[in-house]
Amino acid sequence: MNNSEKFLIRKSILELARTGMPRTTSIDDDIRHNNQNKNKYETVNLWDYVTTLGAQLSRPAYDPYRETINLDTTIGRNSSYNVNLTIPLLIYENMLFSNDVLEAVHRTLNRLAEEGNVLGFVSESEIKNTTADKRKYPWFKKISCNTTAANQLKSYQIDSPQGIVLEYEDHNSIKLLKNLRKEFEYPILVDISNIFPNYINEILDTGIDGIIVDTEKVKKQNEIYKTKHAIAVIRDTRNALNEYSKIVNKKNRSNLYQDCNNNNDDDIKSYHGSAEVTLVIAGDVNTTGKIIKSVALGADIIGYSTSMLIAYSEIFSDRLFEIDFVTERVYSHMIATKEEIKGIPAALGYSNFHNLTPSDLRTSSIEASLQGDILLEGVDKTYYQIIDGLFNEYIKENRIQISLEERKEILKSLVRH
Amino acid sequence: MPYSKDVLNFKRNILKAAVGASQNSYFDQDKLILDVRKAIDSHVPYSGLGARPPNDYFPSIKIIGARLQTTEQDDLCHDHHEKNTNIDTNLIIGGRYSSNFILTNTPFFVSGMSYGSLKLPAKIALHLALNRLAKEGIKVMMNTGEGGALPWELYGSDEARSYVSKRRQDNILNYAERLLREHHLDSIDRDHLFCRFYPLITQYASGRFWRDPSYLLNADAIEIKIGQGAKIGHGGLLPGPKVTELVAENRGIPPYKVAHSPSRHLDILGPEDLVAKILELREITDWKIPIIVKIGSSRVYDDIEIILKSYADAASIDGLVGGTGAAPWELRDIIGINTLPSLKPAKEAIYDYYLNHQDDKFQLLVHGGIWDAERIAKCIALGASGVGIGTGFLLCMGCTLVQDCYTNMCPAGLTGSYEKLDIEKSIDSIVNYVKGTLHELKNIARSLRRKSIHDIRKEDLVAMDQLSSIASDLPLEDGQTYRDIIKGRIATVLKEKNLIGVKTQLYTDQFRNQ
Repeated sequence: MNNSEKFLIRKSILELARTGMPRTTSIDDDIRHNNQNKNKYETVNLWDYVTTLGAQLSRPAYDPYRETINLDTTIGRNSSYNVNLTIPLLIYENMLFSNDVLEAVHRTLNRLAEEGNVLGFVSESEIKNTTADKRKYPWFKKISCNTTAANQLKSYQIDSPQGIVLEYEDHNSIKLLKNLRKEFEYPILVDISNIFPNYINEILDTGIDGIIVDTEKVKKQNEIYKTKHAIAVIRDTRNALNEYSKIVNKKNRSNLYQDCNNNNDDDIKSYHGSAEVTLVIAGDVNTTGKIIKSVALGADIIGYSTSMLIAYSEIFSDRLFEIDFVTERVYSHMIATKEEIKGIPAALGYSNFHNLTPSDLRTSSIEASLQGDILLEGVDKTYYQIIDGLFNEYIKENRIQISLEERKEILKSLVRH
Repeated sequence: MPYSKDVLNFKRNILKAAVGASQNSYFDQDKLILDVRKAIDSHVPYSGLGARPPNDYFPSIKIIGARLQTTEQDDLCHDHHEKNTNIDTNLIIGGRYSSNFILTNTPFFVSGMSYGSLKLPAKIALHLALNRLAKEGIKVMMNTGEGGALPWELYGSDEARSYVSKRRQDNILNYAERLLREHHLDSIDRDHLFCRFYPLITQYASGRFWRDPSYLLNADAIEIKIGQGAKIGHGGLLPGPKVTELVAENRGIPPYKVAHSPSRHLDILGPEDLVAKILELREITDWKIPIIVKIGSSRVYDDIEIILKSYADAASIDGLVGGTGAAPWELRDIIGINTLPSLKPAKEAIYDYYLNHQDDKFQLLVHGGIWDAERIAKCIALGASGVGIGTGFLLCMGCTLVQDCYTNMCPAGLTGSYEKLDIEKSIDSIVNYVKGTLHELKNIARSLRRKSIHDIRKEDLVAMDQLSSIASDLPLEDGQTYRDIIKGRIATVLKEKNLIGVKTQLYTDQFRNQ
């Protein structure tokens, strides 16, 4: 219900309340007429068409005010040291901010960490005068392949971050990643937005702990995703990671089988490591609703930049930049956001934020159903499943035999019709 | 909410920051104000009324041939006898397990809006309007909402008052006087106020805001509220500033402190608990009073299946658009499914249950985004027995839909603030709204040649787009179902690829060889 619909509804009801006599047109006629005159180029945000299923009789709700809701997340499948976050957000510095802005965010994160609310921070350089001993939150250093690998290694050792974020650029990054994995004991995350969705398995095979996908960057860089929504990017990334997990688990199983036969404990080192790759989604995920939907679609952690924006907005005010004042604002925002992030899984009947799955989502849009494999309201099937079911029915009724490739191709053209 | 200059400046600065950081392309400006509010007071932002989904399906479903105003032709089609016979618009609730039942003259009723959520003058206007309508022969049912009932609602008859002790009676009258004085309503005629001629549903919610069993015994029906559309999985919520001393006294809670009801009934965790609770209430009420179970629409099939097996007389579904006095904004917008798509699984659950049980006296009530006769008729055609309206009644009293019900700053003086509500004008508006809606409903039934509003069937509806056809299982305007259309497309694609004919032959040959 947008503002123009509100106006139509109010006008119609007031007419009825004034006269007590039947109207000439109903509210729905008015809205339908209004929609026909709407700007056809108005952008549609598919996030708005996706909702979640709340807990009622068939699944009791949790109470976020009286019960514990777990938001803990661990990064580090192959690293010696893990990073534990108690709020699944990585504050993402996506441009060069002034030192005052960074200082305010740093103070906020320290204050939150002291209270047990640990969030990560991703930035290119360490905030001035904030050495590792002054930092109470995990800091991820953003590095790129532009400079030589040796320099990179040197610099991260000096800064002592609790994690590294490498922006993948070309095939040389694989070499650098392999070196990093050998040298660096903390988690390594790779931003694959530039080359998404290619080389994922190759990158993950270097032993990194997680990947970062910026939905906005993907849409800019990749022709296929230009017209797609963030939900398609998240869905495809999660599917790729699930495929990778299957391969790794299979390899691990066969290695284990060989070890048992050879009775050789040393071979255990040849295991591929854990299949649990952390997926960080950044970009078009800047409200609590979008955070919840992204996690249900498969994200583990959200790259969140709203806190940076709140701090940065002070630059545009008439006041002088007071770090304490800005810190208080960023802190307040994060506390409220945390309460929201806790409240929604509880209302969906989960005590753990990460238990959300795509089956908790429903949509009132065919496009959202296709892009995110989300079930449609009322039928509890995706649009693809409906087409697939009817296709099966049709070929059975008409006794048509069809190869698997042909079938895939036909279904693809049917859903895109 | 009329935001201060500081707040608006802050919002503008965040927008500038978003542009500066090249994030303007996707920043949701509607939600930006939430970030500002969170940064200023560190509280979860609330909002009033219901969610605002971009597609609530109602406009994309049409009743074929229905008219709100009848024409001469409609009258000619009805013979003299039919013309003078009233179209049946009655709603009956109860009788499945209860010995009593409620009979109202309208298939719609006032949804649960509690005292506290609504200000006293608005509650009084609703009470007096329904009384006036009842005197004119139009009985409309009212739901008390979660916050307990007002003295004149519960003890509106001598018989009701006779159930309580003399001392309790004095306390009740004293409380009523204090309520009226607090709101400067001393001039209201007490005899006029202290009577109730319409059926009342009292809500049995997780907050348990009621003082004694007379709350249950004096009602015409009890509604066990498991959830509501605006905040599914979240308990009732009344912000601190709205919990005045008299509201607190009515609910039995401390004043000026936010009232968070538990998100679930502490003694209803599953189907068995619901059965036990309903049996307990049945014993208290001597199996007389109908019991309704209200849920927010989510896993509708499973929830209705549980309710069907639990000795309840009726189920009530509240869709995503269902309103509220206060709900966390983000939670309200992202949890639940729309009203119309939830009717299909609900009807399927009832159908599946009654395959084995012949005595179908189970009623299905729906709420959420229903404001006028056409929407009521659509819900009834899709299987609802009755429809709850909340916002429609508020609009009659001057609601401006600014959704500030959680504050004390309602511009119409309905949910807070010291804006004075014109009670007499509100009563007239409500009476007109009910009469007009009833008139329109009868006209819709008459234009479809039906004698009862409940005779409007699914066959009278068409979907205007494929999605609505899928969600409600309705044919499209040209008479084809979405299945026909998709199968037609399949046939075309197969023909284009020359897969029809050749492969069929192959298949038949293989079949013969086997």
